[in-house]
Amino acid sequence: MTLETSSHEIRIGSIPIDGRLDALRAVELREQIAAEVAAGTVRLIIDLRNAEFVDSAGLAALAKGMKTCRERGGDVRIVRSRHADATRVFALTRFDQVFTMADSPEDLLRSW
Amino acid sequence: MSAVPSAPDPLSAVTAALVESNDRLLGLIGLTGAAFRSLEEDELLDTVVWPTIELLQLEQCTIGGAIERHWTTTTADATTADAHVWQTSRELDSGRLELLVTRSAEPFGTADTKILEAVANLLGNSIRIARMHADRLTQAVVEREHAQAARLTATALPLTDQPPEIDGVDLWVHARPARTTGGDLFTWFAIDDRIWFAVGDVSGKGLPAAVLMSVAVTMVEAAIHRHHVDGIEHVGDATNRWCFQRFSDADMFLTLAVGCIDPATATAQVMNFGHSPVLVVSPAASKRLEASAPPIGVLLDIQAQVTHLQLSEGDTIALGTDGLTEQFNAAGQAFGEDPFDTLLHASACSPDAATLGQTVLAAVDSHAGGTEQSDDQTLMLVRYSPAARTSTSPQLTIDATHLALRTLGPWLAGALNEFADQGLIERCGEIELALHEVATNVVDHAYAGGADGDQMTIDLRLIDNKLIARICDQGRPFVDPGTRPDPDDPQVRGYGLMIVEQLASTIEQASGSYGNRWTLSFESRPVALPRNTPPNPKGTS
Repeated sequence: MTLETSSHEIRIGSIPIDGRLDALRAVELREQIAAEVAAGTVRLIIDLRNAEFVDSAGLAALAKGMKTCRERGGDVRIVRSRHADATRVFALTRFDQVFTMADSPEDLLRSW
Repeated sequence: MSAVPSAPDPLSAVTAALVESNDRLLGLIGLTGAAFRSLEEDELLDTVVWPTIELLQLEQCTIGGAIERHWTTTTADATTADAHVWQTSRELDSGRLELLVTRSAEPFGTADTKILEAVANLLGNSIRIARMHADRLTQAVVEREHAQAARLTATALPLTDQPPEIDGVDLWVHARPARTTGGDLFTWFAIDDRIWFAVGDVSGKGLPAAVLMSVAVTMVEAAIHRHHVDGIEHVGDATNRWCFQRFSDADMFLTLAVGCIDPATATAQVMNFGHSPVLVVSPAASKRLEASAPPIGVLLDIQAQVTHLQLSEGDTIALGTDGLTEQFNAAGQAFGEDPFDTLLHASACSPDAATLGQTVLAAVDSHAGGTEQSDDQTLMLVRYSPAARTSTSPQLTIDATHLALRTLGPWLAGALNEFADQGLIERCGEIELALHEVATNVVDHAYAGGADGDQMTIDLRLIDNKLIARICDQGRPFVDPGTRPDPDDPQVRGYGLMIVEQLASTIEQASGSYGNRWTLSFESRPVALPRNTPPNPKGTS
């Protein structure tokens, strides 16, 4: 989706992840991110509110997307999951300090 | 049958002589054609003597020398003083045979004596046959008794289906005696929360080996009982001293491996007096425990070295006998010691000692392909298995695919609920993540470019409020890159093991030609996440 701010138009993509973000889902996520970037959208919100489980493969897809977007002046920012099993991996790898994270998409929009 | 000439008529005399001659021939044919209906000596002699008496009109027949027999006809009373006597003798293996016959009617002519010489030969042969038969019977009885006695010596051995029950040790033994007893022995004892065990082989075969085997096993058991407190050196020394004289006198010897395992300290000690195969089987590295002393019965004063082992969970001390490694196939090839070691090592990840043992026996049988077992085959496996006596371990075998890994979480939750350990149930998500990361590594690396049939097995055990989880695969050996991502320098890959290391209390990893085995332990309490984590600098509100 494209969100617009009132001041000037910025295209921000949003990708919701429900259920498990594991190696299988990560493949799809990489493709989704690549498609957004190819379309010129380098500011992405990955909405993990309904993600129940994230593993290192999912984390790797997010990290790869973040690098790609940051290189193009954008970023991948994350809406925190409501499930501990999905947020744990960010803390264990300290990626919670690398990603810009918030509890709602609105909070992230304000950060841009 | 025969006719005594009663008239001087020359024609009738010739006729009578012809008739008599013909009668004798018929009698001789009857005598030599007599079917021996028994191989008993007395009956054999009767079969020859009675037709001879009738044929030659004898009154008495006496056999003397090695055997004494006497035959007499009903008319014998009248013939004493003026009876004609003829005798001969033969030398037999069993002694001298004397034949003496009497006849009143007429002197023994040339034809008579020829027949009697033939009869003497026949009697000699009959006696030989009877004696040989009797010897054969005796020998067969003795052999049967030997075999039975040899088998009975096995009653000195413990019953293989009743291994000692002790926490932390999984002991399995299988003994297959050969048709001719080979002298294998084994025993065990559970004393003071430790297991003592021994496997040996008496040189030689048959009853002598079997008898000494039963003596030896008694000595080994006595040595363990008397000296287990003093240490294994004393057990080995006592066994050697008590057995030496007996074996030395019999010109035989005993190869013996004796050891003990202490599950409380995860240690084992082994002494090896010329025995093989003996090895410690571990997924990480298996090794032979070579003999450090000659067999017992060779030298009185020997100093055998003690091998000290520090065991990891699942390590197995394997003690076999040469009947296994020297089992031949139809082409005359022995199974071999190296293949035996390789087989055990490749099977190191077997879930328990019995499974490992059955794998080995099946391989030996497969090699033999029906070729008869020429020697006793004994295999004892003593596995250090801290969880051996806990409740049955939950186990999950799944295809090595990312999709299959999604079943891990629900299975784990169910298994932890069964354990009913609240501290672990609360950690279910963390434990799942750790197991999931290891399993992902198996899919991506051990089975990279995977094929149908690639599988991994995960099992769980609860020991002292600690969860022990094992993940076994048969894929390529894991190679640890040695480095972990620097959290302050984010990268895309390599976080899997870093995550596992933070969640599990301990991680053991072993690889080999058999695949990989990961052993993770988890404390029954929440682990603290990395501390000193500052507030997210880029976080919002």
